[in-house]
Amino acid sequence: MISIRVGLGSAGISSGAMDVYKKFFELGRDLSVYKTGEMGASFLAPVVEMKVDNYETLIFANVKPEQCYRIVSIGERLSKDGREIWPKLVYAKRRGGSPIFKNKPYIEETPFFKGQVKLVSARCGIINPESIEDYHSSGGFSALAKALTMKPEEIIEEVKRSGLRGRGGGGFPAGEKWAAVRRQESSQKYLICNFDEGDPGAFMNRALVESDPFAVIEGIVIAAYAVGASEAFIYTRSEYPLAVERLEKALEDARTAGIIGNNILNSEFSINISLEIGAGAFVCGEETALISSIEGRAGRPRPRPPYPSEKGLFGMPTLINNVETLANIPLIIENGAEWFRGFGSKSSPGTKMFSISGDAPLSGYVEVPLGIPLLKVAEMAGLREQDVKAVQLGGPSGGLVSRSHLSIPLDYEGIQGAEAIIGSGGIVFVGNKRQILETIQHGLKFLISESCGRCTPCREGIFRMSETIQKIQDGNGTPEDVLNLYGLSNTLKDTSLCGLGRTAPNLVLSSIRNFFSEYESAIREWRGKLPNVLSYEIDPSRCNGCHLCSLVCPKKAISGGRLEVHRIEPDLCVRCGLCYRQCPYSAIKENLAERDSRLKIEIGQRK
Amino acid sequence: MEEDKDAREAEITSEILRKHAGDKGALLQILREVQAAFGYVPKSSMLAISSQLGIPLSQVYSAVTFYNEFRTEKRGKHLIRVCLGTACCVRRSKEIMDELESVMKIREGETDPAGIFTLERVNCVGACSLGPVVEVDGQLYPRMNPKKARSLVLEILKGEGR
Repeated sequence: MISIRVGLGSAGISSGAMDVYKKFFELGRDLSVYKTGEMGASFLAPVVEMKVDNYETLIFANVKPEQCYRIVSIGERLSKDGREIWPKLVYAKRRGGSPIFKNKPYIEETPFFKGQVKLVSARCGIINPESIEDYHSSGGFSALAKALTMKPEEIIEEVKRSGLRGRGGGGFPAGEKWAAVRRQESSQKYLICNFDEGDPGAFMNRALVESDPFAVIEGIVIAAYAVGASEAFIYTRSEYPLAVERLEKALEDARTAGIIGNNILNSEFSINISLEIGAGAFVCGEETALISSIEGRAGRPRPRPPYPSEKGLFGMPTLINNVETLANIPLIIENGAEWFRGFGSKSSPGTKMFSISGDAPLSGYVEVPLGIPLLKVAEMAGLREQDVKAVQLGGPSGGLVSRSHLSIPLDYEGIQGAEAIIGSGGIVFVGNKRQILETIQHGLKFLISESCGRCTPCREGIFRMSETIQKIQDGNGTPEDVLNLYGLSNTLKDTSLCGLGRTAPNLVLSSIRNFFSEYESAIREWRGKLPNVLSYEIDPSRCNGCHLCSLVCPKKAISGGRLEVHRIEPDLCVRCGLCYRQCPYSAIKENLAERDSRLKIEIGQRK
Repeated sequence: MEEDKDAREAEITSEILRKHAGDKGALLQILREVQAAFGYVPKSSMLAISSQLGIPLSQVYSAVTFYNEFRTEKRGKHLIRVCLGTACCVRRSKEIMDELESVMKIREGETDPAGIFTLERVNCVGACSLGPVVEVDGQLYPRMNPKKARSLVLEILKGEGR
C-alpha cells in the first residue's frame, strides 16, 4: 500500500504543489493521495510524503511534477522487493515503521527542525486539514468532550494555572481575561477569535489555520463554554483566501458533526461560530478596532476602558483571543496545566510558533519552547551568528535587536530587556548588507499608511518620525534630530489612543539603542566623533536628578535614581553629546581637549 | 448609455442588499460583493447602501476609504500586487516594484490607460518565507526578482494580444 501526502498550504501551493498533487492522480497507479497542510519548512515546498506498507515515511522536498513518477517508482519497488532506489531523491524520513534508507536523516534531526517542540502545530502537515475524521482520529475533540464534563470555573482555573499568555502580542494571561468575561452578568456574551494577522513578517497563524483549522474551532468552543458565550466570530483577513476557504469548510463540517450548533455533543451548551472577513487594515488587529469592524464600521479604535471584557461587541461582554492562544486550549484541557508548564520558561510557559523570514536561507514557521535563546532560532534558519546584522521582532511595531542580543531568551520578559516585544511572533532576519535606517524607514512608512488617523499623535507623529529619519538618511541629520525622535517617541507612547501608536516608536527607539553606530555614521557631526570633547561630566551641584539625560543616552551610560545626582560611566560613554544638549539645568560639562579652540575653528571653517 | 449603466448598477446593488436585508453588521460583506460585481464601489451603490441600511452616507464612505481592499475607481482587468512587507522588502521587493512601474509605464496605485493592469502595493500577504512575492489576480508568485516579474507582465500582455 502506498499513500502519498502533498503539503498544500499557501507556501506549497504557490510553489507549485497543486500541480504535483494533480500529477499523482494522473499517473494512474495504485495510490492513495491526500492533502495536508504545512509542516513549516517553506523552503522545502512542495513537500511530498510517502508511506509504503510498514516502512518509515519518506519525505521528498522541492518536488516537481516530472519527479512524481520516480517517487512512485521508489514506493513500488520498496513494496515489491524492499529495494531502495534513487536515494538521492529522498530528503528525510519520519519515524514510525521499519527502518529504510538508513543513511537519510530523520526530519527532526535536520537543522530546521532540530530543537523544535511541536505541540500546537503537531498536526500541521500531517493530517488532512479538510477532513474532520482525520482530526478526530488524531485525538481531536477529546478535550472538548472532557471540558463539557467540567464546570466553566474549573476550566478557567486550569487555564489560569497553566500560565498561558495571549499569543497575539500583548502576552496578557489568558485565564485572567477569561475570568473577567465570566464575571460579567449579561444575557449575551460574545467570543472573538482574532485571526487578523496583519504584521508583515508574521504568517504562523495562517499556516496553523490552513493546516489544522479544527484545533482552533475546538479551542473556541471550549473558551466559549468557559466564559458563557453563545456566539463566536472568527475575524480574518481577505488576504488569506485559502485559510478562509478551509475555515468555511471546517465550520460547515463541524456544524454537521454537532461540534457547533445547538446542544453540542448532547450537552446543554449551544454555540454558533461565524466567519468575519476584514478588508485590509492592520489596525483591525487591535481589539476595539476589530470590534468596530465586525459591527460594520471603519475599524478605528476607541479609548479603553471600558475593556471589551465589559463592553465589547454590540456593547456586550466579549472575549477576544488570538488564534494560537485558542489552539493551545485543547492541549491544556486534555493534558493539564502541569504538563503545559513543563514547556517554556517560568514566566512564559508553553511553546510559541514563530515565523522566520528575511535574509535567512531556511525560512518558514517553527514552534519552540518559550525562553530559548534567539540564537537557536537563527540556527534553525541556517544562520551563523556573524550572518545576522539585526533581527526585527514583533513586526513593524516591535523592535530591532542586534547581533549582541542573540543570546536573549525568547519569552515575554527576556525580550523586553532588548527593547523589543515578541508580538505575534514574526522574526525577520536582516543581513549584513542591509541598511538599518532603511529598514526603519520601511517600517515607519507601513505604520503611516496603516494609522487610522483618529488621534493626532499617531497620525502626525509617525509621519514626523519618518521625515526625521529621511533627513538623517540623506545626510542632513543633526544630534538634535535624534533628540526630536526621542521626544516624538515619548509623546506617541504616552498619548496615543491604541497600541498601534503606542508601539510605533519601538522600532526607532530600539534602533537608537541597539544600532547607535548607524546613526553615528549617518550624522555628520558624529562621524569620527567630536575630536575636541574628551569626556562629559555631570556637575553635582547643578544636577537635580530629573533623569532626562539618562533617558536619551543611547548607551545607557548614565546611572542614578530619581532626584539623585546622576553619573556618567566613562567607559560606556560614546561622547555623542545628547545628554549635554538635553539637560535643562546645564549640569553637564564638556571636558575639552587642550587644543580645543583651534580645532573648533577648523571645524567651523570646514562647514 | 450613462443612465443604463446607473440603472444596472442600482439593480445589482439592491439585489445584494436584499440578501443582507437590514443587517447593519453586514456592511463590509455587502461592499465586498458590490466590489466583486463592479470591480470597484460606485457612488450610486454607496447611496443605495446608505439609504437601505439606514447608515449615514459618511459612514459608508468612511468604511470604503478606510479599508485597503475597497476602491472607488474602476481598476484594470488584471490586478498585480507587489508585496512590500518587511520580509519581502529585505529581499529587495522595491526593485521589483520599480521594474514593474517602468515596464507598465504606470505608477504604484494606478491603472494603465488601456485598462489592462492595475499595479498596487500590498503590505503583507503572509507568504514571507517565499519572498519576495508578487500576486497576480489572487495567485501568488514566490521568489521573484525584477527579471522574472518583467516576463510575468509581458506574458499577460501577450495573452491580451498586445
